[in-house]
Amino acid sequence: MTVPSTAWQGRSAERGVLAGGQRSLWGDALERVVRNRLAVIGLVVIALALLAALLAPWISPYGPNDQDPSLSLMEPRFVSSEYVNAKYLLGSDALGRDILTRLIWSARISMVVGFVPVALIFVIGVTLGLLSGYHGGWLDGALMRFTDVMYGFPDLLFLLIVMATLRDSPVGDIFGGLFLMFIAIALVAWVGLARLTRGQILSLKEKEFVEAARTIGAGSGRIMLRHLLPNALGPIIVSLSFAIPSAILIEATLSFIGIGVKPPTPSWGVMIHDGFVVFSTTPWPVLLPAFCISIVMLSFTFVGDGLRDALDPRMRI
Amino acid sequence: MSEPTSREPGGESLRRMPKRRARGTAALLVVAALLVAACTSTPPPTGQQQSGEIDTNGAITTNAGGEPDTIDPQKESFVNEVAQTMMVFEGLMTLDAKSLKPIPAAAKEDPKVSADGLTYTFTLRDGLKYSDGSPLTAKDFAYGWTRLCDPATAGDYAFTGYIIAGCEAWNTLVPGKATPAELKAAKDKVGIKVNGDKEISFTLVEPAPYFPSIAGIWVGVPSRESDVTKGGDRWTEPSTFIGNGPFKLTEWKHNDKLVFERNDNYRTPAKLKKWTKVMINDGAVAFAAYRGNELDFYGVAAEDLRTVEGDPELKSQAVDVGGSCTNTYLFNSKKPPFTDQKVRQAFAKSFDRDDYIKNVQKIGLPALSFIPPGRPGYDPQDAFQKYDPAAAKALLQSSSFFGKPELNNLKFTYATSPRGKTRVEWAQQQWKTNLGLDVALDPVDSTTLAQLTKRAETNPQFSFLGWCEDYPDPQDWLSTVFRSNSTVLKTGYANPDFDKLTSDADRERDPVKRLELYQKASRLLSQDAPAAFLYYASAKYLKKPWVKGVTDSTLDFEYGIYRITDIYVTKKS
Amino acid sequence: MLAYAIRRLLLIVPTMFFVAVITFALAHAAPGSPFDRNVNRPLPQSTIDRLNAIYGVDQPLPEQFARYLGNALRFEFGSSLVRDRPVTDIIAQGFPVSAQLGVQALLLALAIAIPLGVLSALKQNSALDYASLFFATIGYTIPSFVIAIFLIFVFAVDLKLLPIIGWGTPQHWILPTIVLALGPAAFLTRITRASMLETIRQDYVRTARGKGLAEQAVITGHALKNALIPVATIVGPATAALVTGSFIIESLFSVPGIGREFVLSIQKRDYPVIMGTALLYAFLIAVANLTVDLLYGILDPRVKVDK
Repeated sequence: MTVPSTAWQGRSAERGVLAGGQRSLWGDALERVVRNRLAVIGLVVIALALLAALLAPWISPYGPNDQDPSLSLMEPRFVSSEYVNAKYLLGSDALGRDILTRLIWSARISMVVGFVPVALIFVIGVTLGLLSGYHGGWLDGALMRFTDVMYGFPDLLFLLIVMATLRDSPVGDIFGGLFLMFIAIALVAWVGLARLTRGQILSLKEKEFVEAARTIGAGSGRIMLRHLLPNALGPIIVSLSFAIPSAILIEATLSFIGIGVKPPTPSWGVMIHDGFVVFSTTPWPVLLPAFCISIVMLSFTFVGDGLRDALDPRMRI
Repeated sequence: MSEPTSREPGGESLRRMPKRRARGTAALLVVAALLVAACTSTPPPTGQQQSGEIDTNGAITTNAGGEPDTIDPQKESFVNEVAQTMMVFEGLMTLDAKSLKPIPAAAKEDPKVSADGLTYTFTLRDGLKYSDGSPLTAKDFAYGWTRLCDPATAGDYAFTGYIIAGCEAWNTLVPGKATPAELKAAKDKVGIKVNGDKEISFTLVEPAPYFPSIAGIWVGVPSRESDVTKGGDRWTEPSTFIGNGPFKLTEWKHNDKLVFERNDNYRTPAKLKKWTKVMINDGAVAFAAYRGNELDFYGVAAEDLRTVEGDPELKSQAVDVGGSCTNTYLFNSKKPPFTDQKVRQAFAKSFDRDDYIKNVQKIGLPALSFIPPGRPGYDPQDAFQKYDPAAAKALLQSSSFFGKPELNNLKFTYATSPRGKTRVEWAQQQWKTNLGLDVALDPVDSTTLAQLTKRAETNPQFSFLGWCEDYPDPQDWLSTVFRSNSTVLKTGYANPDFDKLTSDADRERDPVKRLELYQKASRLLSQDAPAAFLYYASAKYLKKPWVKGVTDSTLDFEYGIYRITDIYVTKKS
Repeated sequence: MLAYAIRRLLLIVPTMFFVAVITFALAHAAPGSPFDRNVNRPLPQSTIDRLNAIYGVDQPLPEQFARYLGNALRFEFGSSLVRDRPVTDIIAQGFPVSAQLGVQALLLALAIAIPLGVLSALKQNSALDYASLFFATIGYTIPSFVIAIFLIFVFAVDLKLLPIIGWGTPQHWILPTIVLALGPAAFLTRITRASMLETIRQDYVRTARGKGLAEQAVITGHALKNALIPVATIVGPATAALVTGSFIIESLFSVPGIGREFVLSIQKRDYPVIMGTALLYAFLIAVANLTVDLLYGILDPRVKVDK
């Protein structure tokens, strides 16, 4: 017989009160996430992808650039077709490279592109949004004007300009084009997060608990970090849970157009780009990397949902 | 449905979610599977019966490839631009679709050549008109050719006019910096003279037996002065783009489509009434459009071959056509290690062209010399650059750079394009396997690449060169591309013997001797290997069965354009 | 409120100036000349020099920029360096198409997202909720260009039902609009749902119900307005992004819009077109953001916009 959750909530609150300490928001959140089975599945998939990315050289059947043009465009083994070869479990691309191998190696790029820019976005966006929303005044005005300017380009077109213009310069060579992509993505995407944070803060700072905190003499910093931020985190986390897969998608999109990572680095976006050209012959070189992107993005979404459910402070008693 | 009044935080929703999501994923897979099945099924057969009768109101739709930047004949240079101009205009000469020889078009007959070979005089046919009915005279042709040389026009193909006396001198002045008097003086020195309404003569810099071929391409078509003046920047819009060719431009929706209609004032009216050209950038989309009956022609790409071969209907609609382009790996002969002929020769022999055609390019022919088959100057016996990995290794070892760092710093620069990448990676693999060398890949966008070739320091060490013919004469291949004083390309190649052979050949009026000289130059070129020849382009088209009368030619910058008036559509019964 | 609106409108000018500077700098930072259109026939440097002189591209950058600004203020945006057409012509022909596509997509996205998001929040854990989450997931996790590829093949090749190229008739509008709307629709559904869920848990909603108000009135009168605030935040930039048109969508479906034009002009280093389009875009975004901020003031009276 399951213990009703309200009882559990009540007891932990009791425990907290009795123990005289406060149960931390984050510890509580962690427990909630773990109880959310979908989020756990998501975490598992992401962990697998990270593992695949790390262990790529050891677990791939071939090298990502080993070609065999005479065996090009083989279909995956599970398809019944005359164009199947025992060598290639998931088929081969136009140059006879093993798709499974390339999928595994592409995971590296996608994982990196997912995490690094988003970390940058979080730090910059939330900090600026917090300050801007709370203090208002000239700071808010200046920040908002600045973000208006950054908004002056649509994400994709700004990225296009930056990648197209600077890709051939020395900056574009760092990490095979990835460094430039991190900077470009972060530069573009932090704006949305800053505005969202600001919006949340604007709504929240008029609330009673802020008044209460001020009354007991809490300083600005404390109010921002311990009161406003945790309450604002709900939509921020939702937004971030979209930012990671969005970054992955952006890399795929840029690579699809042809101005993403530099060859011979494989990435799922690059694979779709190569696969589109042969789509009328066989859809698998497009389908398989698209599937990988979807699965990974789905996983991040589940995890994000789980985090959001866990962190919504109204769940606490 | 009851509304939650007291919230069960998380518990209720959590218990239900996994099942729902699992169903979601399953549904997702089912939908995906359905879509895949749909995509790989064969399309239903078209149920159109053909009566065989010509439809006098016949219309076809083809793909222009993308919005042409300009269709101004004296400014354009891309095939998708030239193709539009040549629907609307006609020059003094044209080229025969099969023999590739220049034949009279607006001119009544072949030009008369003076004894010293320096003056060519053309006589126009009687009764020539523009599409709006007004008469077309020699003065209009003079205007077109003069405009080509005009520095204010600044056309990419002005160099083809440099064979005319005074053209280069005028064209290289800068309108902002030179005085109007200087400009006028230079213009007056250009060797184009009109004699009455029907005669126009050109004085050349030196004897040039290839001049009639130049007169057969788009550069000298009679743009009308009144149209250009009236329209200014926009004279290429339909209302002022009036020409003397088989069609007139009736509509241009930018980035969308061009619509052409029959010009009833043309000397041999076309059978087709209307020809629409849409602008599809992407090949895969164009193929889908063809199969959906939105296009009547489609140029097959290597990636589509399996689908075409596997579908009996598509296979029956396929036509194979030779091409006029040669694709090569170009060495910068001024940059080590390619300063050493042995290194160049080693590379030229180090890749298997047959494997490339069979497995990568699929549509094309292996190339061992520069000039492609079917045109004057083609040398099937020249096999110096044949694939020979053992010889290649030996050459490399005996070269002055063997064992030196220069061989480890090789970088191949190329313009990014969807199919280009896979092809370049094939080559990279060949050099690794057969020569043991690691060549780094350096993709840049095409505009950047063009910039790099301007200065000796930035000119790439190793790159890709595809040369397509302007006019079918060895001069356009050997002299124009590889002579050391070429104004068109800076390959860095400078061989005085080659220069002399080609210069002599350019001027030689005895056709037999001329070809001999070119052949010597071509053989020298293959051995000296400033470039490793890879393949000759050829093409495969799909054509809908109700379009007939199409003559293909290796000259085709547009499928069927050299006998465009013969094309017709059969009536639907 | 009015004073605030006017102040914001005036602030658009420095915004656009800054955009112009950044675009100009980046566009000129890329190597390559607009006159080299054919990589296999690069023009000799002497020809490039001549052309640069003719078109004034050889002067020092600050001078070029100043000249550009001066002309821009007179609404003269120059001619494309690569094509024989004035920039205003190019934009005037491409922009309405992209705008139409963008607006259609936005309306479609909102029409799907808001009802779906609200209803699934209200009927949490129901079949509808499951369906809408599923839809939101698909629209978001599968890249739009992959969906476009499938739609192209299914509708045009197999079913021969819809045209896939061009923009002439309403049938041409269907596929591009759907593909462009999917991503935003999915995202907006999630945001709406999340926001709605949060809102209906608020005390004042409980209070309203406690007062005995009909459910309908509770939702539309109280909850909806507040739930839509975060949605409104996103709609502003979403509109701007849609209006210039997704480059990929326009490219794949051969839609003659300004998005495709913009990217091509970057690749060709066609500076006047790059600048003209970027400025237009900056203006649109600034107006969209202003609208959103004003909406904030209307929807959430606790937000003081004229501080």
